[in-house]
Amino acid sequence: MPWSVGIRFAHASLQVLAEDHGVDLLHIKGPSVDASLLDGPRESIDADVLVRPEHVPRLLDAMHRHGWSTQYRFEDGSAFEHASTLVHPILAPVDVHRRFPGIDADASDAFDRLWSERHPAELAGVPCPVPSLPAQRLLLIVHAARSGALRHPDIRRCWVDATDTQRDEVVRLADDIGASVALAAGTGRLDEFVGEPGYDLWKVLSTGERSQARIWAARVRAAPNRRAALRTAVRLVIPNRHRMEASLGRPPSAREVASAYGTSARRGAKELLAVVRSATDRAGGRR
Amino acid sequence: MSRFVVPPRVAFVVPRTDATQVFLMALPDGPPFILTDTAAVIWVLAADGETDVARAVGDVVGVPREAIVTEVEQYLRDLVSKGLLSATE
Repeated sequence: MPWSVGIRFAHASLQVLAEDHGVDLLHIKGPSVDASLLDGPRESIDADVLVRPEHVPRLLDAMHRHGWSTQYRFEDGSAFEHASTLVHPILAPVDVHRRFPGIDADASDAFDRLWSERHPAELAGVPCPVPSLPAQRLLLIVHAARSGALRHPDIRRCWVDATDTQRDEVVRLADDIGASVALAAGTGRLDEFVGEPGYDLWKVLSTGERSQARIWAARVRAAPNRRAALRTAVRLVIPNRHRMEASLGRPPSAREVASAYGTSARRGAKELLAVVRSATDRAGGRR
Repeated sequence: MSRFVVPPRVAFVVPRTDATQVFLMALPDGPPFILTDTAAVIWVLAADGETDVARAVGDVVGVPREAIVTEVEQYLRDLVSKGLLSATE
């Protein structure tokens, strides 16, 4: 089965599971993107859905009972802990998002806003709810910014080529759901947000910063409080056993975990420690 | 002659390639099916609402309706029995 077919079937399968189990979810990115925002067919490596946070456990339970297994838990993924990856023997992998990086409003409130403006799009012949056009523009811009891809065609189509009215719609939505900094990072206006929470993080992400230590430090500084900052810092320096297990296909041995610590250390432990300490202090002093 | 529709819990993809193919899957668990060549043509025409599928298929492949009607109608019954089409009248 072609990969593109497996992705569409994965979207359709999730939609049916969502309807059967009373789960609100929005299909995002990949083949769910509106044709007006594309130059041609859009292919992905997985299917992405954004789920009402309160419904995530129900969806995961339903997926597990229908042949899906968890490859990466939320805490195994990016430092944003935003998505869990599930795999299936036949279908393409699915990234279940409980929040979208760059949207800083309460995840449930943000979902409510996106959900209230949804409309159906057909995926594999099945009507699937997708975000409004302004929301799709925003998500694509923010996603490209997070990857440091400021010249990405998505940004050109969703922002550079947009009318003033279309841009205003995106800006208003971003203001409402706490995505103004991330949007600014993707649209060359980040300097308007110097000193705001998240500025440093989106500066390093959107400019393709290569120093892993600086990226980690910015993530720690963007944490909302001291506890979150410490958790972020700890996660960033400790090898993730679950991710190692997924990569190895078996539980890592003690020696392999120790080796992973050593590898981290060789990446410049002194520099990392200094910036994480500095960032943690700053985050702790802010609130 | 019957009219056919795609059942609500069947996903389908007609890839944008030169190959005459249709991928079908009962939701949510499958398994997926692939129809090729004339089988794909029959499913697509039926799913598109053709009431005389045999005539429409004959027009596509260039043979008289009478030469294929028995096989086409048998195949449509087969698709219905597999749950990949629903007959509405």
